[in-house]
Amino acid sequence: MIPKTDLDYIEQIQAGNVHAYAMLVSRYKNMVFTLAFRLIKNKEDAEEVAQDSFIKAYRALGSFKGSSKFSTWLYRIVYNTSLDYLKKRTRVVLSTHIDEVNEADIGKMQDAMSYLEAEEKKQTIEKALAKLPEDERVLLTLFYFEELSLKEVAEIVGVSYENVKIKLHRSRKKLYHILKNVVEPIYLNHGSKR
Amino acid sequence: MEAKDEKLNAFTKEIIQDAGLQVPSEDFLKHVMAEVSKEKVTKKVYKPLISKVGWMLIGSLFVVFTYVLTRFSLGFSFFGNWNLTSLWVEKYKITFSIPTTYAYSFAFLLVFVIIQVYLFSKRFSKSLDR
Repeated sequence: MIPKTDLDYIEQIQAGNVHAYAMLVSRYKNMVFTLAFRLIKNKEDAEEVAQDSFIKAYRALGSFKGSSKFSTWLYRIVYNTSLDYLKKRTRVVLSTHIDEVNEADIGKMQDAMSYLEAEEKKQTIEKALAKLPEDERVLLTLFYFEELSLKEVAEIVGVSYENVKIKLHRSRKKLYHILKNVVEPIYLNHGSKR
Repeated sequence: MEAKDEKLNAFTKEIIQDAGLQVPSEDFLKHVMAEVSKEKVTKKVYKPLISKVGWMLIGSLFVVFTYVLTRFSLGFSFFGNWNLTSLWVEKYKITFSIPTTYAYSFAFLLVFVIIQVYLFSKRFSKSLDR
């Protein structure tokens, strides 16, 4: 059986079948929640924002024309809803000093990361991501996890293609330096034991 | 320089993939569906800005306007007239001329209308897509 596309479900919803929306929520809930969480950094609030985003998307489905992918359209709603939420809260501007990255160091870092257990690795990366500015966390997730094109990412976050490219370049370096500070002591520890 | 960027790019991808996705609570779907079940989605039918009748009216007015201007004009023109008689109407014994001022004004008007229609349709489709 051919799996149904997002558009198939949308047509069913527009024809009055509310239950078809459950399929779309199930398909995107993890990504939507992750985007909200990476912006808001609090699980309870992120869950509320993610639910709000799905409800907003449902209300707007009547005007969804399909000129862009449903996922891109949905992520834009999540991004804007999360930003609206953050506006109500005091935003903390994070800054990380960006040094040049040494090619040989990247190999060492990969080596060091391999010492970590899967869950420990996940937590370490999540902590490192939390030290990046909100928009950069989202850019990295959309581009490297969801593997969206630069054009699609630009459409979601509402900035230019060139701007996304520059921000991604910067956030890659920042993430590397943050991870280096966290992982290097672990690597040195393991190295001395060998 | 490029090799280093490539390496950092691959490393970042690996890291972000390893981080995976966060999972919301088990009740997430239930909460969303409970909310949306109270509402009904109705598909919006898009109406064109100018209806077929509207276009026909504009077209008819344009034909009448052009006919009146060319047929009953006093012959005033900054640049002289374009005499089309010799081109293709001669055999029907109809004399037909368009003042050049009118032709240029019409050409400019047409360009502006085309640009505006394009800009308006882009703006409207963007606002409706949100």
